[in-house]
Amino acid sequence: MKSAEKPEEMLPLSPAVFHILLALVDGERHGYSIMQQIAEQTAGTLRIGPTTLYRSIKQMLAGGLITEVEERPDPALDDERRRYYRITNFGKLVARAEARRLEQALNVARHKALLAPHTDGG
Amino acid sequence: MRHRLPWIIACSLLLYRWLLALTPSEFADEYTEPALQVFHQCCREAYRERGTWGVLRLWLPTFLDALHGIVAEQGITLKRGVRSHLTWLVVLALSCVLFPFSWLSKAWEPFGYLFNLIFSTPQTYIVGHVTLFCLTGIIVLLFMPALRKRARLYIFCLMLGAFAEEVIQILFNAHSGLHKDARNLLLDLCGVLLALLVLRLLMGKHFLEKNMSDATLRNR
Repeated sequence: MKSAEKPEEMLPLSPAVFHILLALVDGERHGYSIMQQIAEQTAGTLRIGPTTLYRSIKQMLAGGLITEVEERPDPALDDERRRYYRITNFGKLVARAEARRLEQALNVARHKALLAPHTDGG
Repeated sequence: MRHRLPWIIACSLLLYRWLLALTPSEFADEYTEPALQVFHQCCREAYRERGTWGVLRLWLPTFLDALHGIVAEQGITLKRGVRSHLTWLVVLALSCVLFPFSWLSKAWEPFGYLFNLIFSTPQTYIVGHVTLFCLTGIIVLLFMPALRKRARLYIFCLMLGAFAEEVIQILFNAHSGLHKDARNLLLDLCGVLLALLVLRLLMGKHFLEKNMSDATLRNR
């Protein structure tokens, strides 16, 4: 992923990247915390492994969507191998643009009655 | 006090570390430790909830995820490598074409001796020009397969290079032998066309051989 000027140039995002951005909107987190947050915000429907997590993080760092937090917690209180990440302003813009894109798709689905209330009788 | 890791977690971490070692060094150096740390926490959580079976259940998704990551990261590194090699080859081919050889032959005696040895007679001069552009054309066609089917674009690009070469030669030699330059361009065009012919013949042969082997397989 290359660093782009316009957030729209980064779209569409992969589900992993989008959910990592959503997880980081609330504040900085480390890898395991991001994974837990993704499982929580998707009700367990999206589970990403550590390799996909760090591959996505690598792409997002290169694209300027997130940044690594320089200040590390005291090694006595926390594992020193832990790295903390924070969403950038550009990352927030990209997440917003992706959310709008998905909302548009959702509206089309609603319009075509794909999201009609489910009835037991079929 | 340091607690001893349950054997299943130690074994899982070892396997995962081995898998991560298969990723390109650029990725492995940067992300092996944090990824292991995350996997360690996943294992601890699973062990706490379901014991050994819980950790074993993590293996399949985690190791498949790692394998997918290895293939993808190696692919990215390979692509980047091919691109950088391609750039160097094109730069090398262009340098060969655009380099003011005749100026250097006058400025540097040992090179001049070698240069005059190769381009001493009109015949060797013709062979030299055609060979230089034939080799350049083959390099370009080998590394830019899209140009193989777009002969006009390929000829245009190479002839643009040939024209630039002639301009450079004129600038360095300070002469304007237009008839000589036109002849050189014609020789360059022969080299360019020869490269296209050679590549198409080789590709045709490869295509023929492939079809024959396919037909043999079908007949069996």
